[in-house]
Amino acid sequence: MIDMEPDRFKNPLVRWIDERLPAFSIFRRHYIDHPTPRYFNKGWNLIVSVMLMIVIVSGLFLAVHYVPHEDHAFEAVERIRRDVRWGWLIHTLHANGASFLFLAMYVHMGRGMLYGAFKTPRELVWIVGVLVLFLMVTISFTGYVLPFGQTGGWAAIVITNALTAIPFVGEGLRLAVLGGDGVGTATLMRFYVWHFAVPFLVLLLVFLHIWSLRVCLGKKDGSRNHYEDPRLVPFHPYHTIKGSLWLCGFLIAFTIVAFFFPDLTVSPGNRVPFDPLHMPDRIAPEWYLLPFYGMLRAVNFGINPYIALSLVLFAAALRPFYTRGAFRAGRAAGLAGGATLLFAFGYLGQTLFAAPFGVLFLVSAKSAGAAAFAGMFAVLLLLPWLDRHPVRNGRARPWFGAGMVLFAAALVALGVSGAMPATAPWVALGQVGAAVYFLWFLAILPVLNRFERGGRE
Amino acid sequence: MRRGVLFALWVAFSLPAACAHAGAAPSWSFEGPFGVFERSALQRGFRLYVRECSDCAALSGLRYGDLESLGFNADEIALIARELEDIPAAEAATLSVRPVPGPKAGRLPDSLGRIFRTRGSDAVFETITEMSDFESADAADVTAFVVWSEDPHLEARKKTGLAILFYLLMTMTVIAVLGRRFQTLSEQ
Repeated sequence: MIDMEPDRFKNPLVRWIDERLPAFSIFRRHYIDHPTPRYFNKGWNLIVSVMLMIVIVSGLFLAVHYVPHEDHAFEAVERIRRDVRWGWLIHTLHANGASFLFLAMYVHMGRGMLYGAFKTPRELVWIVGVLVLFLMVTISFTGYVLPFGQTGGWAAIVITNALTAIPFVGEGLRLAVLGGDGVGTATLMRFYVWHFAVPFLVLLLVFLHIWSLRVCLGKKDGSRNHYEDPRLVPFHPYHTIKGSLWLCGFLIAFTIVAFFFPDLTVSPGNRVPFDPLHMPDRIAPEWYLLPFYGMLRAVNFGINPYIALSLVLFAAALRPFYTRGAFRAGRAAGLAGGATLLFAFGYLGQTLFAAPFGVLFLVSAKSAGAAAFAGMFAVLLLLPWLDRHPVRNGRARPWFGAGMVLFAAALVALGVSGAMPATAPWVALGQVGAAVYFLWFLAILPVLNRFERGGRE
Repeated sequence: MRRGVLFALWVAFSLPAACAHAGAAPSWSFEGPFGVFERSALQRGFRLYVRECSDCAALSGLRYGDLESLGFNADEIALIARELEDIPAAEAATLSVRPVPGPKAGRLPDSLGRIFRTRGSDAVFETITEMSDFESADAADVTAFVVWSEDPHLEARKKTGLAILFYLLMTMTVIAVLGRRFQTLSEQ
């Protein structure tokens, strides 16, 4: 990408620069002449990039007026909305822009999963993207706390409390993140610095994401793609036009929300100043973090020896799909059935009778919840090695397609359970969602690798 | 596709109105994509509010200078400032408005502005009619004033939004028309 021969540009100034720094050549080759398959959809990556820029630029303007202090933060945001010239504009673009950036990222990732965009040789493109998602989660969470409203302040308390689940360093980490025992100026300062600085790390990762994609697109990957069309078209104008149309459509939806329903995506509880003495009835993050919050709440049980043994049995049942060893249906069914019974025994025993189940925890409930949260990202990182089906395009795989619908339903179930009060039916819904989420990655995908048509065996 | 976008626009704008329950609250002039405040209602609402409200928390962000966008001119603002708090005209523009408790105030809660921010304009209207001695028409004007004081850029926001929507639709049309040439080429 860098060591290329410069093109011969007619404009003498462009040519002079390009001979010393081939930026124009690189741009021309990758965004104008680049031969691209016709079926590529250049819409969502463009939408994600533009939303990222909208949020970063509006954030820079907001940062000029914001005051990270417990006595002034809430008023500072109110002043931006009322008194700062065009302050209402940058405020609504930033607050609603975050929602639409996450919406675009989720669609972008979903399409990547559906069309197998993470498969060899593009594993790193996917992995860097998942890292970006993780950083975006931390950035949006710190941003939620900065206006110092009720839900934001209390969310900081609840989430940093989950940090204490990390063995050995947890309690120290919580103190370091909060800057003390409670949420205050020290917390706001820390969150402000994180919220301001980490987006630039995201920009760097986005650059690596695109760079890796450019390197890998030119390589033969040996996959069979049922819809593949060998004919190529230059990037400009074919994909630039298609992408611009998608972008305009998305921005129209964004404009309708940001200018006509500016409070639609902002939690009402965050429009009231933080009060450390009165815990609100409902503590929940913004909609795009609800599945993660739902997972934290769904895994509300510790790992006792029965549950631990059942997990080992599940792993044994799935082993042939990972090692490509011989598969015997009876043995796998026996192991999985035994594991399910054992899990039910361990879980019900723990919820119905405290002793002897409750005292025998290998992992406490709090740690298990935090581990499940981390596991959500871990399985996403491992996706290129979990879905190894040789057919790249998921739409050519009916079972995979049905599984994707199930997976989306699991995310919705987790989100709904995160939004609702932590009472029995909603927690149970979240637990079903959590089970399907992990089963999809760790069990269904490896099984489909072996049995879905078009596979190796 | 364009028809689809227009349909989506229509649905987006008409849904909230269709979902609104038929309660006692009047229909607000400031609702909808073209909604604006009625200046006369705001001015009446302001006068009622500053004379009758028992608490002033919602107005902590409001200065006498802001009353200009309610349609009052400088002389009227000076008069209001003198009438309410005996403030000299020269200083009025930078000072916060401090309403005084009045006989109709009843048991109005701390902050009507906060009720608007968390529960919307109908909730403000219901609170005023239930907890004070305001008549329905007066309560509607006070509600309009409270909404304005919490969302003073509502009109500018909608105007800007409509301009951006117009620009995006134009751009989309131009790209679609110009791009049609290349679309047919790529399908050959």
